[in-house]
Amino acid sequence: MSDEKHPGHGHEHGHHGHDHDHDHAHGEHQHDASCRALAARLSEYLDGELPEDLVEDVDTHFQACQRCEEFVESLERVRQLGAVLPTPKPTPERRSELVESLRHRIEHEGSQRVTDPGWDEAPLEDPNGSTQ
Amino acid sequence: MTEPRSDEVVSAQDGVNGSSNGHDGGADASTREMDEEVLRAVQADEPGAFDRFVERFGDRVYGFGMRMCGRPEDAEDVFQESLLTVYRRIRDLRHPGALRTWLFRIVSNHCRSAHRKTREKTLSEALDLDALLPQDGPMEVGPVLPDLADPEQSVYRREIADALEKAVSSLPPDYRLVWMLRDVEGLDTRETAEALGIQEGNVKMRLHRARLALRRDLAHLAPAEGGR
Repeated sequence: MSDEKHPGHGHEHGHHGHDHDHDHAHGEHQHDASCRALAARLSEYLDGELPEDLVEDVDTHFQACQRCEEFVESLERVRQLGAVLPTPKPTPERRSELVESLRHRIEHEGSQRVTDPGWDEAPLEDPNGSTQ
Repeated sequence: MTEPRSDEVVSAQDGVNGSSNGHDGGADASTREMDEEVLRAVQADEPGAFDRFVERFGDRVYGFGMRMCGRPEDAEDVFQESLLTVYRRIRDLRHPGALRTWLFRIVSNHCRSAHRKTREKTLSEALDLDALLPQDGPMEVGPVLPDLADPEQSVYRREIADALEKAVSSLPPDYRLVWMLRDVEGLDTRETAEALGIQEGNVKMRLHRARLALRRDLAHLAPAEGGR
């Protein structure tokens, strides 16, 4: 596991055998305040949304704290699950029925294809700049 | 709304196949280009274009509704109402790059409507951060990801898929929504905030706690000896 890549910040780390007063054999470590402060922002770390100076602090912490490193690796695997595992789907037969029903409604209600203001949505921001 | 018909509902698990879900989860540039091509065709009223749109997004809309609402009949309503809204409103969408944000805002709103009907849980229920962080003592470090290419792991893939569905269904709906948009549909933080009409900081907070809760519930999972 220690060679896993955390994709958000592109940094690859491993156990570096640091002799540190915060060194923790697995299962013996008592989480301290720094571990908890770090744990609160690990998704930002994995998503590449943490400021660079804080990324360095987190990496330094991992070098000394095997437990936190293992924790973030397990969180990274959870992060991947949503894209890896299948989502619920209707059976092909039921899907065909749903599509047919939708088509029928569109044929009968399609003339209502309007720009009515009733839908509760704010204007979407253009990903490239202006606002719609 | 279409009335749910209990004789026609399908089980979510019946619909779960044993392999990748086939969606793009974290859409890359080529996926978004294909999205936009379908969008342009629909907006230009090309023959069969909306069928292609439904073909491309329908299962994802259904799956989103199923995970958010928990009942096939509600997922079917979300499918029908969301895609009908899309059909009626798609000409209003002027920025093709915003398609996914726009689509899943519509889907999320219909899911919220379904929740208001069923009153499954209050949307504002909170997850406590401290309770989700590892406690002192031995720590489970799973889940181990399934090897999708290994036929011997088919049982484990099913086991972890079932466990994920159960864990996702236990998330408070507001957290589940954010997790679905970020980790399943691949919207980024800004897009998710726009889709839900909330602050980016709120997206980050809910996503992190949702992942922590899923980790807590799935951390014991690993393939049995010999791969299964």
